[in-house]
Amino acid sequence: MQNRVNDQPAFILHRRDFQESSLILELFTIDFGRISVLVKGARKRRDAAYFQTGHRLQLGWGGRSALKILTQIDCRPLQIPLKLYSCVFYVNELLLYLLPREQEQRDLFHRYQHLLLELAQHQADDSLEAVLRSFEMDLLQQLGLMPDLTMEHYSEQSVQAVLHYTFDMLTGLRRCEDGSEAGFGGGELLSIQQRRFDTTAVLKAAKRLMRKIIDYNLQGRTLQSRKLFQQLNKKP
Amino acid sequence: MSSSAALDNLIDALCCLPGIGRKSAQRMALYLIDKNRQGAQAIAQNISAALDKVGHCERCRNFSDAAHCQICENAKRQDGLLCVVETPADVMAIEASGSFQGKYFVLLGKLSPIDGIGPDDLGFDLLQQRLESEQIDEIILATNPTVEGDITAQYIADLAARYQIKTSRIAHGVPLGGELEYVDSGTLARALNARQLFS
Repeated sequence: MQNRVNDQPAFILHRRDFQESSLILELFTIDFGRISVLVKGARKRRDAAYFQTGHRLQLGWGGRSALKILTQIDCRPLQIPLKLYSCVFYVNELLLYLLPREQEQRDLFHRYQHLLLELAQHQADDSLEAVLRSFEMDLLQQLGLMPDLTMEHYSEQSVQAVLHYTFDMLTGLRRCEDGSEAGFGGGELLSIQQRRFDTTAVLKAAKRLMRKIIDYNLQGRTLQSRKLFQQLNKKP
Repeated sequence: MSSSAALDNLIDALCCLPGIGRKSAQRMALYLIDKNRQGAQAIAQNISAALDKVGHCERCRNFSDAAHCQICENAKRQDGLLCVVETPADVMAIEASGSFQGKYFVLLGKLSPIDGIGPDDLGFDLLQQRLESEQIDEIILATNPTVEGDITAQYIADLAARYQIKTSRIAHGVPLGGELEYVDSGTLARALNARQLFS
């Protein structure tokens, strides 16, 4: 990696306090993927408001070690409604766990930027489910973790809309005789593949399927943001 | 390594302080042992006493020597005004301003989804009990103006709404003596949106 980088578009995935007034930022950048940057004295700086998740940033940094030192920051704030930050935290946590370090992910970066813009322009009555499922599929596809939903894994037969299938990460899609509750309708699978989330049944199936694939790839880790927001929706 | 193992241990122990490296710790240790033994004695006694006595107030979660802290026990302060802050340092900052005469509730953190810090870690059950059992007229949300601080404030506002308690958020904007040219755009936007009539 270059020693000094300037004007790099980036988003903050997570921030951690470090020592008395410094911050360690986990960033998603356009050319270097996920990197960590130290911002000395960040909490006392005049531009402390920039170091927040959900803002479009232009950053510069230096250093050869895994932890870079921030040298430049410019910010174009996004006004994401507070209630929608649950989605931002969820997606950020997915990226933190799944993205490899210092690996360019341009397409995914643009998709992430698009997602945040969609959240910023979100109308209260629109459903976010389809937007989130679509992003999850992009993420899994870019990382090569998304299975083909149009074909059975072993038999290599095309998925039929009228039949039922079970999905397992090791054995892939497999036709099941009766439409069990854990299974997926062939029509639902084909709709998910084409990202046509136009019915509640398809959205529910997509959520179930994505969760299965994501949980497998998290290798036993729990998504804290998912757990927390389930808790918040239950209480107070 | 010095000529005394006890002195080395003292230097090591002082290194645990934030912002204190080995060189500073060595300077402090030598000063205390060589120049100010009386001061060192006072520090040792006070640290020991503080560790024995200081716990958390059962009502507001701030640091306290007794079950209830001095602020909660102060009859001159308004019971109906409750200021919610993230840390004891925030209480000290507000107290130093001398402009608040109500009581506090200290969360000892903020909702932080990715770090797994949820409502159970921030004493929301205790806060809810207070909202239920006490006559509180207004809650002032003084969590930090960060995304996590704002989410925490939103959560408490939702909680207070269940008990029909008025909530307010501390103002965010241009610092006194500051210049608009040097204020970031987000802060300036908030300051403009929350402008007040000039009288």
